[in-house]
Amino acid sequence: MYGRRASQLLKEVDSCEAGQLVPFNSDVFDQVIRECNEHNTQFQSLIRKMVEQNLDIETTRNDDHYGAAVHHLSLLRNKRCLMAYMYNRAEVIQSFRWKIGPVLPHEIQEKLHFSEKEYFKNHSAAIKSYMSEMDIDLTVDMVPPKDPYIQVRVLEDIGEVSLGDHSISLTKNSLHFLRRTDTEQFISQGLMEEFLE
Amino acid sequence: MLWSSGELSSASRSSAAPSFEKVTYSANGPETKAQNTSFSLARPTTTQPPTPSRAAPSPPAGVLAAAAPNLRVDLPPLAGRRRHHLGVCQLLMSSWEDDDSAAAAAAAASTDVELLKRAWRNEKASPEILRFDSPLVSRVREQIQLLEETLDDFGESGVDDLVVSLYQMDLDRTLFLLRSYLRLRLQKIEKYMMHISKSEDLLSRLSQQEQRFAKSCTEMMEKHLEQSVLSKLPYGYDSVTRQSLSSTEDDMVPEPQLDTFVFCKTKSDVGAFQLDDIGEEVVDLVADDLYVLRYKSIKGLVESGQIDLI
Repeated sequence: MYGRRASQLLKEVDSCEAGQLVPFNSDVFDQVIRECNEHNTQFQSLIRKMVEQNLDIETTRNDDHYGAAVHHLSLLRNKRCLMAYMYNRAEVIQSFRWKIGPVLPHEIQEKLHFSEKEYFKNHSAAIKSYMSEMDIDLTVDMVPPKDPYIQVRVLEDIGEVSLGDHSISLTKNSLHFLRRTDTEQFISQGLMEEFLE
Repeated sequence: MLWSSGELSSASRSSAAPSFEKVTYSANGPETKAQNTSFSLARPTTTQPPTPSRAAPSPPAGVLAAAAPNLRVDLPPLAGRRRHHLGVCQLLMSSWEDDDSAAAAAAAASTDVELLKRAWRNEKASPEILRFDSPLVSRVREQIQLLEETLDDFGESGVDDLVVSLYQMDLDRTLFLLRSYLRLRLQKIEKYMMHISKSEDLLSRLSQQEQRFAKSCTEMMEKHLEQSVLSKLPYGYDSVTRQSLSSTEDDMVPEPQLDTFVFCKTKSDVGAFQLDDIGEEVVDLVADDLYVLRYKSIKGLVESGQIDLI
């Protein structure tokens, strides 16, 4: 059935948990692209056949016309599916910039198409240039602040860090009571977590 | 469908809003410098409601006593009747009964932080991007800087830690509000970049930096789609915005749903207001009422500031 493979791609995106990404399915993607080109060849040959029979392609309503229409519409559907697939993935990739940061971990990198990696990089750069133009860091303060200080647990050895007027040693599994603004970058990098009793 | 960064979801909207109620601290202990500072980030011209008899002997107690009574929730609990009128669900609210608190509320509503909060809430609830208020944002940023300097001074002069942390909290909240506002707008631009960059009217609502962001975003997205999909499709089917050559207009651009319903609150009496083009649905908009209406029909009122989205 025409268009089935393309809808498979979208089902993959849809069944995936919101905000997550499945690996780029290049097999099916390429198959759909081939299908598109096949549709186009068929479409062209049907049109050519009508022209050879000296029929007006605008007004004639014969078998070949409807055949061509089916190919045209299948191609459109495939195109829409491919675009939706890429676009929805791009939206998730955009959200990674806000949730994870400018560098994607290896396991996400693996799931991306090469063009998507490039897109992520360019998109991060655009956000970065906006932030430097505005002179404000928008990647911190993602949740409304409740208290200026929070208790954190250090997950990895970070070493000596200077915070404002004093420096502290952040060793693995130690607990600290710090200013929320100082901890945010460590938390987003996964080096610390908020300690909730 | 896959949009999930949270900023645009209504869930985070309700959880975020109440935690940033404005706190009017008046640290009027004689030992502190606080009394000289416009701490509540009020516009310089705005006079704060007087906080009588809250001067306490020690600064911390004074701060706390002053802070607590002024913590207020914007919306009084929904009370009274519900009226169904022409398919419009209208929720009536009890108005402020206490004159004193009403006056305080009016004064609080005119501070820049309050204005920013309103802009932020409107932006959060509206399906499309609203006009960027650059004078407001630059005023708020000035005040943030002022507060940061004040905090630095405090650090040097050894002001009580509790006072400092209250100031810090106020600063943090304001900073969050500002960041969240700018972030929300960027995420809206990301979502509707092609739609926005097509229309002069929408582009003019953005700040210059946002316009640049929208432009580079659109270029990048087009390039990405071009090299991953479109370049592999046959001739005639390779446009980003149109399905094929036979489309006469752009039919593949994601647009915001302006038909969606929004919760809104009137600020003043608007009177009989026509919801549709043909005048079949007219609703009487009374001051300080809550309504659930289609965004499209009240768009003009939101833009002119007669109604707030919540």
